[in-house]
Amino acid sequence: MKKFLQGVAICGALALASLPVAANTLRFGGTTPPLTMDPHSTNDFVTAALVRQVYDSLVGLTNDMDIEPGIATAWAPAGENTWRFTIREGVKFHDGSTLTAEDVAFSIMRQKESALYRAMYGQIREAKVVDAKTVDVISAGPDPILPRKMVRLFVMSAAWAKANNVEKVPDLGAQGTEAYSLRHANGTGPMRLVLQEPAQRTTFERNKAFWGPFNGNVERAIYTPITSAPTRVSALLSNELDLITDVPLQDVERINGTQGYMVSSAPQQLFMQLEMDGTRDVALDTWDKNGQPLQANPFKDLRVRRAFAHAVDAKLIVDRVMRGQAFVVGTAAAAGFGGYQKDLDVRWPTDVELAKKLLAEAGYPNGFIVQLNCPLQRYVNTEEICRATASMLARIGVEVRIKGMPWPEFARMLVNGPSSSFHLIGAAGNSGDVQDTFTSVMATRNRDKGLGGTNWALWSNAEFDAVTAELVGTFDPAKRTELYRRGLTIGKEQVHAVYLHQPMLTWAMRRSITVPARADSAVMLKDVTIK
Amino acid sequence: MTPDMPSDGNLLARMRRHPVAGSLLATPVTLVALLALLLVVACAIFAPWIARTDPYDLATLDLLDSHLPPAFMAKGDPRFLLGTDSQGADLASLLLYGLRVSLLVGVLAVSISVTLGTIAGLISGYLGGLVDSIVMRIADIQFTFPAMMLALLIGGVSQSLLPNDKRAALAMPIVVIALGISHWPHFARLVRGAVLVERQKDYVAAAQLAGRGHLVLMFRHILPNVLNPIFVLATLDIAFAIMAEATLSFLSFGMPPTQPSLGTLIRIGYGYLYSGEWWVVVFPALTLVVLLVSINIVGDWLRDLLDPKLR
Amino acid sequence: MFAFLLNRLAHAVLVLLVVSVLAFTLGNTVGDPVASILGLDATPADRAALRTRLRLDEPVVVRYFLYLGDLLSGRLGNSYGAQRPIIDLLAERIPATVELALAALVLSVVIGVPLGVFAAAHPEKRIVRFLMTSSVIGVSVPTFILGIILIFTFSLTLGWLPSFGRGEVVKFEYWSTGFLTASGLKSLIMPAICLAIGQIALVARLARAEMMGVLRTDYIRFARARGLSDRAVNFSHALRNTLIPIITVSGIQLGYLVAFAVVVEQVFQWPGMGTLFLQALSQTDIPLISAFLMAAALFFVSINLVVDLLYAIADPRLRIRTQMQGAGG
Repeated sequence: MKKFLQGVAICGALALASLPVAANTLRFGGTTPPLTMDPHSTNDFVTAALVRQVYDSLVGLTNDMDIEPGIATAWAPAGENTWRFTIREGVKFHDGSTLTAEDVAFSIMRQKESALYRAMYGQIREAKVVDAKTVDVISAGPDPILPRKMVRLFVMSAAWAKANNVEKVPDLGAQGTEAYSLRHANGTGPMRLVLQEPAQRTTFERNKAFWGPFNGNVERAIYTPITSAPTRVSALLSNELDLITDVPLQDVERINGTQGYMVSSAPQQLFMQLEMDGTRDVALDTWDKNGQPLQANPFKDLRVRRAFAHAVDAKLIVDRVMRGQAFVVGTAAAAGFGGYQKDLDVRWPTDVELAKKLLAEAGYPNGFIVQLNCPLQRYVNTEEICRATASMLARIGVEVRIKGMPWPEFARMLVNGPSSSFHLIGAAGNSGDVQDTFTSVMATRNRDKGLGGTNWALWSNAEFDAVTAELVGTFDPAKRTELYRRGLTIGKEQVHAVYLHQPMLTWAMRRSITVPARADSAVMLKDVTIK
Repeated sequence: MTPDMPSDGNLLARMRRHPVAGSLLATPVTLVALLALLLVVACAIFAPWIARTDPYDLATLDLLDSHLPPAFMAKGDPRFLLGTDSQGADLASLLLYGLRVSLLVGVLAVSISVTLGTIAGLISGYLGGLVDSIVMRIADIQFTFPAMMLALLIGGVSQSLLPNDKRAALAMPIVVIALGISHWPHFARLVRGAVLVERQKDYVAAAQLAGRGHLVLMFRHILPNVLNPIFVLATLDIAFAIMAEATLSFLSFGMPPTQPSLGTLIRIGYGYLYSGEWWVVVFPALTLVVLLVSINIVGDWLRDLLDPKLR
Repeated sequence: MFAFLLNRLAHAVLVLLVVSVLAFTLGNTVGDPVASILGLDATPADRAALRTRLRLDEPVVVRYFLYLGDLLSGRLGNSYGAQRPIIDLLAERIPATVELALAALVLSVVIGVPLGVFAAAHPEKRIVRFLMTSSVIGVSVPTFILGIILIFTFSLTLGWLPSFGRGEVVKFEYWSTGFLTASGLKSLIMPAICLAIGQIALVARLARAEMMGVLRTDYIRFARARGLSDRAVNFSHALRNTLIPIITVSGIQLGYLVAFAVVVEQVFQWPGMGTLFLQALSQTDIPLISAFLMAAALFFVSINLVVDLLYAIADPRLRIRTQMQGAGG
């Protein structure tokens, strides 16, 4: 009873305290809850965007997706396979302890062991503490874009991890235990994690001891996940939230037309494409018009690939499905990527007659039937894009059977197989450099060399692989530009995939709020100003 | 048929005395509901002939026709009476086909419930003893869970466990079976109760003495006497099945977008509610509500008419 | 009476056992738990260690009994999706669903019973006939459509009520409640109404039928003959006799409310068991799905037991009959 009375007293106090929303509190909402607060145990980008408030990355990332000094103030190559990072001094963790070179080395080795980061950091052999402010990162081979990759390397306190028994990235098998780092954090970032209420709220408050510039005036921020898009919009418009991410495109106009609200958008760091099987001799889930499985892989014929590219009208998809909130893409890169070549970015013209002719020449005058694997979440309006693709291909006689799958299932199909001969997917390397797209999305799959890890359609072109191999070992900027151009051109000529568009990410907010929209979907709380 | 046709006034008076027509005329609401129901069912049956386009044929869709408002609005297109969806499909055609799917699922599901329940009820009531206890125990276990919960569990879990390539193809059987299973005990109890009553009666004893077999007794003598209550319960159950299917589809564990029911259309349309494209959600929702209300009203009326005991 | 309760208790155990077999089968035959947990890059040694830890090498029957033991001691394992102990997930979500269902139950009884009593007392009034007809609409409109209408009207257009979530909650040990804060109560209004509407119609119909039966009894005729006012007769004499069946049915309604709460929770993004279950389904989070089955079974079995108990207390015939049976047997 006494406990109960105490509880009532506490809750009374809480209720009073919570009545007026404290000054400069940002209430923001997104699609999904953070999966974990452990920065190394997931590569989910919603989670990464939230983790970035609390943990700093070794190399910083500006709001325009350029690299900048972060925990490391400088970096330079030191020998063939080694990069040397200079560690910032006087940086404090949220628990008051001082960041050391050991913490950096510990974090690199911890994150690299995480299953989800093996593709990105698997080539790292060692992180060596040279002195109190220097760490050497040694890779298995030369890696010109390692600093760029380090924008996803989050630094945590080694002592804290040890004290809480999370020195290794936690796995799920343990019976009935919850890893401490799942809902607690100790970083050096601009915000401190106050409370993580699973599936409900994540509360942050300003880290007064933050080492860097804090441009905004947010003292406290509450993140609420709302999966249903219409509910998210209504939560904003009924003043329960100040800012929402992932605004459904159909609601952009209405929100902009509502007094006191606005939508801001920024191009996302990926582009959508339809990938076609480039290796199998017999394609999966393809049939002739009588429903008999095809005994061939039509996608190995360049004419079929070109037919698809000319039949799918990316411009119309951008206008109608994306409602103008996207840019048509003509090469395997998008504006804002390192190595992007603007003058090459011209898409194949839409030409149904040409497409029909190409298809007939390839031996399919009546078309065929193919299953399109379609991820249902994660990217904007995918279901609609797939349906539009189906009706466009129907016009050249290709019957598309759409198989929609929730993201985890779609990802499992690719990771465990990849078992798909035709699918829609968003492509981009994690770092935002075209080299990453080349090595992970386009290069011939080769597990030992760490190449083609996300080349889910098994596209393979020897000339392209040679270009990629050369690019990876080249440090000279002019030579690199030349190689970027050659790679992009081969991709387009050989129709590596049917490129569609680069989606915009759309945020909606009250007009009193200013926030830089970022291509990685992170709402940087330190840069938010509330008037 | 009498050669001298009665005058209108007389006809009306005679209809009032007629038990069925009279009860209809006494409650205009029921009459309206019955007419609405007949209209809706006719639309569903004749959908392929009424609908302007076949919404399952992707080649007929044109993205340029997308997001059009209903024909009677300023920017409407006369080709699309109720407007179009995000892919340029004719909403009126989608509705007609959706209605067809919803009704089909409802009727099939209830047929399963009725068949399972009647057989179980007949056997258990007629044979009694161990069989009776086992069947009724199973029914009892199932009664522990509300039918809606059961439909959600069976439908949701099997959809989620199914390999994804089978999911769309098996969606309809799964939904039908989930709903069918979730309601059979209602019929089993009803039939068993009726059988217990009938068994006491003299004609059964007489038939038994005459050496009729068990099956003949059950199906030829006892079953016809319990048909009325089964029919009434089945009518009301179709409303439940349609609503449960719509709910499953709304939660995206029911019919897939490639073969949308009314619930699927509402789920997809819900995303456009705030954007001003109200027609993609309002028309399917209205159709569903009209369908359910009219079935329920007609069902209540049938119950009063055929089986006042059930009240 | 005692025999009756014993019978019901045995039934409850039987239901739980049947569901536990289903849940165990689900958790042990579908998918490869080792692959789900460790991912694809695991070493054979990791896999072997996990197999031992998950007891995958034991015979099925042994594993089932070990599983029962785990259930009884509350060890439900970890969720694949949330990476947290399932028991914690359930404990966090249960209060939200229970509060929502309770609020809806109270609403449906508080509104439905007076409506039914009124309808029974004045069967010929126009308003009563209108209400009885419109109750069909209340039963017919699917919950999710009602929810959409409510959100559109009261959140988006009028801006009066929050459209999602539970608002501020207050925590006591294992329970979190939204009843004690203004925002918690405001958040509860729409979901509770949405859930209650269909039940209000049902409770009103039931109350009306019971009431009409009671009003015809000699006891009430006698009260009227004594010159008591209609009001006094209706509410203090007749109603008292109808309350017990209504309370009993309310128990059953609570079960239905919880079932429909799944839908309401989804529409209003209410952080309860329903949204957790739907999430588990869409992620094929098998340990969570199978734990949810058990939790649901336990819940409904308990509800039924309580209802049976009330029923036994309320219905004297049952009491006498079971006593006689007891004496005879």
